[in-house]
Amino acid sequence: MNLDVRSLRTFSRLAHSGAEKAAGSLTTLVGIDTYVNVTKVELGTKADVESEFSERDLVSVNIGFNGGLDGRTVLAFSPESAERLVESLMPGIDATDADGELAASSLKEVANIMLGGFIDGWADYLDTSIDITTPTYVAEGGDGPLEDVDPDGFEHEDETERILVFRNQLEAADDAIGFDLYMIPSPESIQTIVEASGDDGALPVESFAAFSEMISDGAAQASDDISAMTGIETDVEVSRLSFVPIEGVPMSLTDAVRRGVVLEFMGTPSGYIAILFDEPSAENIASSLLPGMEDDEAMRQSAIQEIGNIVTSGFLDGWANALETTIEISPPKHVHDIGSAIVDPLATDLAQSQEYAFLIDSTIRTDDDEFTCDIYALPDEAELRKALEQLAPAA
Amino acid sequence: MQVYTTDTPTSTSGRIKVGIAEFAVDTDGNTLTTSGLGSCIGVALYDPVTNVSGLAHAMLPEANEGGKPAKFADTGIESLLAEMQASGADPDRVVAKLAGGSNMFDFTSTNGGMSIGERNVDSARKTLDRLEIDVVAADVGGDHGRSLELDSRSGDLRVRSANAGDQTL
Amino acid sequence: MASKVLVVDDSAFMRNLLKQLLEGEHEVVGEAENGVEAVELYRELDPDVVTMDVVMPIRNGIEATSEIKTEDPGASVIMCTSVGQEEKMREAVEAGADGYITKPFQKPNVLQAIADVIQAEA
Repeated sequence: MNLDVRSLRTFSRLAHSGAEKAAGSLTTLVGIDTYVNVTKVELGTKADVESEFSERDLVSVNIGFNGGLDGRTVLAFSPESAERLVESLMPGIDATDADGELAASSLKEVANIMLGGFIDGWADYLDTSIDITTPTYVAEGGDGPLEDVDPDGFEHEDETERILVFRNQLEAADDAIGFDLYMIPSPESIQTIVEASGDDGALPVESFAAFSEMISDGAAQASDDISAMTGIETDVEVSRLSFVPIEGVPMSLTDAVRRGVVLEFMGTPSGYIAILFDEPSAENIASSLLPGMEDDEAMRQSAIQEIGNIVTSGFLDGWANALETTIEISPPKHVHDIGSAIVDPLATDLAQSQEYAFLIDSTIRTDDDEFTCDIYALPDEAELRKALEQLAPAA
Repeated sequence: MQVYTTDTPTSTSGRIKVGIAEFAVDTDGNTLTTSGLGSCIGVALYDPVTNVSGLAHAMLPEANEGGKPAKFADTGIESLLAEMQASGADPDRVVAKLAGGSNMFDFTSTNGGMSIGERNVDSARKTLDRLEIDVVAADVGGDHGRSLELDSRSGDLRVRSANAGDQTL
Repeated sequence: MASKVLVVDDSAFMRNLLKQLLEGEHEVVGEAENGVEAVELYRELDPDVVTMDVVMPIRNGIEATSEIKTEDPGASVIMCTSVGQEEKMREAVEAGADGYITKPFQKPNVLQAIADVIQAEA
C-alpha cells in the first residue's frame, strides 16, 4: 500500500469538514459552542492510541461503519467532560453516575449524532453509502476501544502494529468540555480513499512506518538521556507522527505557559524542535538538577537549555544514522511563554513554503507525574519526503 | 420526501473562538477570542456605531496561491472587512487595533532581513492604510507571545501575555 | 390539531427528548426501540405519524418503514436520523418515507415535519 501527500491532504480535509459538522451538531444539541481545534492524520501503534485512553481515564462511545468504507469511529471524553455534557443534555439528572442507564444513553446518542454527521461527508465524497452501527459505551477503565481493530496491512518488519488514525480535537468555547473524535479506517478503506484522490509520488506505507519507528526510538533515547541526567526514571508515554494543516500545529497546544527550549536543525531534513515543560515540571527538573540553587534564574535557564540539547541530540541522532546523513543542531534558545505562541513562529516559518506539516510529538513522563516533557519536531515537508524516499525499500 | 435540517445556532456562550488562519465577525455583543499569537498578527476591527466587530488571526503577510484568505494579513483583512460590511458595519467608521507580530527567535531563514512578525505587522498596516482604516492602537513586536479578547460591545481589545503584562487597547 | 405519534428510536435519551418536545403539541401513543417493535406497535396503535430512527438493532428503520408502508400505504413516516448521506436519503425515499429529519433537530423542525405530512395526507 502506498500513501502520498495528496491523499493525506484529502484525508485531512474530509476529516476536518466531518469534524466541523460534528461540532456543529453538538452546538445545536446542547447549546454549547464547540470548535474543531485541530485535525490530525496520525500514524502510530495501537498501543499508543490505547495508552492515551488509559492514561487519561477516558470514557468513550464507539460506532463502527461499513459499506463504502469500513472501520470505526470513537468519541472519547474525559470523565469530567462526559459529566458536563450529560448535565447540559439533561439538567437535573445525577451526572456523576455516568454509567447510569439514561446518562450512558444520552452520551451514546450524542456520539451517534456527531459521528453520523462526521461520516456523511466521506460517503458523499466517495459517492457511496456507508452504514453505521449502533453505539457502544465503554466506561472508564473498560477494554481498549481498539481491542478488536485489525491492524492487518500495517505490519512493519518489527511486527509492531501501526494504524492510521484520524484524530480531531474538539473543544467548547469556554474550555469546559474537550474531547477527541477518532476515525480508524480499515487498510482496505484507506486504499479506497487513496485511489479516489489519485496517486501523486506515493511512498510505500512502510516508509512512513519505518519513520514512525525511528521517532519512537528517538523518543526512547531522549527519555533515557533525561533519566540519566536527572536520576529520575522516565518513560515515553506517547510518540506520534501526524500530518496536519500547518495552522493546526500551534493549535494543538494550549494557552498554558510553558518553559523550555527551541532549536533549529539543519540537514536532510531541516526543521525545528521545541522541548517544553509545564511550569511545575520545569521547577521539579531544576531542583533535581540544581539542588540548593533552584532560585538562581540564570542557572535554571542554563539547566533547561542543557536538557534541551541532550534531548534533541538523543532524538535526532537516530534519524541521522538511519538516513545516513548528518543533522546539525543550533544552540538552544530558552523560552518561557504561552505554549501555542512558542510553536507559532516555527509553524509560520514553514508555512511560507508548505500548507501541511508532518508533526512529530512525543511525551516523556515520570511515573509519579513529577514532570512531563513534550517534544515537538517540525521537519520541512519536502525535505522529509526526500528523506523518506531513501527509507523506502528498493522497488 | 422533504428533508429537514437544522442550522448551527450562533454563539450561546458569549465567546467566539477564532482559530489560526481564521476570522470571525460578531454583531451580538459577544467576545471574540484568539490565542497563541507569536509571529502571527491579530487584527481587531470595530464599528463603534453598530458594534459590528471582527477579529482575524493571520499567519503570513501576503496571500499566495492555494491558501485560504484568512491565513494572510492582506486578504484576511479584506475578507474580514467585507463580511463586517455585509453585517452592517460602515467602513468609514471602522477602526483597527493590532496585536502580535513578535520576533521570538532569530531563525537562519530570516537571514538578517525582516522577521515574519515584522512583515506581518507591515502588511497589516499597509492593507489597512489602503482601505483607509485608522489604526487606533497597537501592541506589536517584542519577543513574547500574546492572546487576545475583543469585547464587541465596547471595542476593547484585551491583550494577555505570559511575562510582559496584560493591557487593554 | 394534535396527532397520535409513535416514536421509534433505540436511544432512551432520544425517545425522552422527542416526548418532551412533542408535549402539549401532539400525543405520543407509543415508543419502540427497534424496527420489529415499531411494526408491531404500528399495527396495534394505528398512530397518525411515526418518527423513525434509521440505525437500530434487530431491524433498522428503513426496513421497518418499508413494511409499514406496504401494509398501510396511507401511513405517515418521518425518518429521524443522524445519517445525512445522499445515498441513505434515496433509500428512505424508496422505502416510502414521507419526511427526513436530520439529528440534531430543533423543535420547530419536528413540528413542521409533522404538520407537513399530516397536511399532505389530508
